[in-house]
Amino acid sequence: MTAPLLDAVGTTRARRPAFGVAGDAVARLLSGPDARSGPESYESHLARLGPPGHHGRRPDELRALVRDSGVLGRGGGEFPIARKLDLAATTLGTPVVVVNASEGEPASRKDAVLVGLRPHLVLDGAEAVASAVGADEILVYVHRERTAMCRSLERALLERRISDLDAVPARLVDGPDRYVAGEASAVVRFLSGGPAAPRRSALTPAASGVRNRPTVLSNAETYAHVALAARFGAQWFAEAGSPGCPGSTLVTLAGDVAVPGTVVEVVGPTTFSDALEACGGLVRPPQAVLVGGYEGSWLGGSVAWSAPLDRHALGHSGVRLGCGLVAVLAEERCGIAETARIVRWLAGETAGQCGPCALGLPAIASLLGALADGRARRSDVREIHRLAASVRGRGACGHPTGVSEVVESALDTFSEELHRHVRGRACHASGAGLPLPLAAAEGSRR
Amino acid sequence: MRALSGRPGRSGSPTAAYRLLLDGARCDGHGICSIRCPERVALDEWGFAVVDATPVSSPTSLDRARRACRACPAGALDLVAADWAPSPPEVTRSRRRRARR
Repeated sequence: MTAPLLDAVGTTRARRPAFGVAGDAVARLLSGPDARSGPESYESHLARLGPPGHHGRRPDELRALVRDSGVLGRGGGEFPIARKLDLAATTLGTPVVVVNASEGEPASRKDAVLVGLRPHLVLDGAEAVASAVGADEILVYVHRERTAMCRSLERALLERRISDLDAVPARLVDGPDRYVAGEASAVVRFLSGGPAAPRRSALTPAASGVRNRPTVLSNAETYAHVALAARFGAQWFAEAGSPGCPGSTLVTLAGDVAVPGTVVEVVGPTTFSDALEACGGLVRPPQAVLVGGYEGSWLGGSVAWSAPLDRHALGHSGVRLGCGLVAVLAEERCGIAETARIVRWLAGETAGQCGPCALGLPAIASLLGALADGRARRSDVREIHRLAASVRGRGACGHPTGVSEVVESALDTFSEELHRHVRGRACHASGAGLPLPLAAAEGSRR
Repeated sequence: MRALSGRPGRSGSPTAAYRLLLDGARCDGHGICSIRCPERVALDEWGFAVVDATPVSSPTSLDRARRACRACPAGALDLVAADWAPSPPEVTRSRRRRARR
């Protein structure tokens, strides 16, 4: 195994990103000036990276370049961005480019750090995509509550408007701060003038999206990768990451780590232990790790410790890196109680459109709550399994399926605690008042 | 549904494969679909439709499936080509392989 090539950006509890850089030369998205200097100016951005890669390139050349670089969407769907570009470019109508910077995942901070420090990289990528598909508008979907992110973007857009290089008009759109409002179809619906709730559509947004126009919609990090690939080429781009998922990856370390909300750029072959030791302050495997977001999968600490921190390799074992969240659960905490809290919150985030989600998730949440309090019987555990299976794959979006996923993986990973709880023994960590690992991130949203 | 050209079971060839597709956001739990096509549509404990999405091929079950679609007051049920994939792709996420501690 080669040496881990890690680059860390610590973020303080005051939600202000601070740098703790190791090996600046290898960082890609987050290389450049110190985090304390805030958002990088357009001038410094251009001086550091040179002119944007899409200048002087034909649309089909750009699309071929993006295809060759193999950039996957970084919002959780892991969909090849090139397929969206090709579909949008060949569909009738003038395309729109949407940058999803809403980052609705409570503990995730990677988009906030990326957009907060390197707004021009994201906007360069959006412009490259716009010229690759012939779009006449760029919409950046954000939450106004994320003030640092919005301020950084507003300043960046102003800088670009003043310079002569700005080709495609871009503007910020303020979306509601709800978990499902960041889902692709909900974003499209909101930008078309509807509610920010998911909708099952016959056509993907790339074919018919915002106001029925072809729409390229992806996560902010995806566009930053496109900007780098357009500048330095597909071959350079694939030197980082793995063949299954080329390019570096931003990961948020949350929960019981030295500084919750630390964003790490994974460049070379890295394991969870590399990242958690170097940037999370851990010295031994934790009890468990929640991977991929609140609707991700729990992994036992010792399993995760040696596992590769790589989207593609994790995907092979059925675990999605998703939005890149790695939430650590310390030995003294209770995974069942933690999951019950997360699921209670997720159940409240339903858009209320689909019966199985609106009724099934609260039912799961209350049974899990009873289990966490030691009030549940073995039949209740069977009922949780049954409900989790029955909401799977239903509804207009992946929300019920995601809840089912995190519940099943919790019951599986915390089987010992599960037995203790079912026997009615007091959970060693279920008492109120404990500083819950993900509480800070959750509280800051409201 | 836009994805479907022609009307299944009529203009389509009798061997063409179709399947039922439910829009969960539209389903209000009227339950008529389950009466019309009990072999394809079940109701969950709250009365919302649970659809068997395997291809419908025999003419009689295709007929019943079509009746179920027509009967839905919310317009939540559709017959689509069997190989047609809905968006978003995340919905049909494969079951994770269990990793134990």
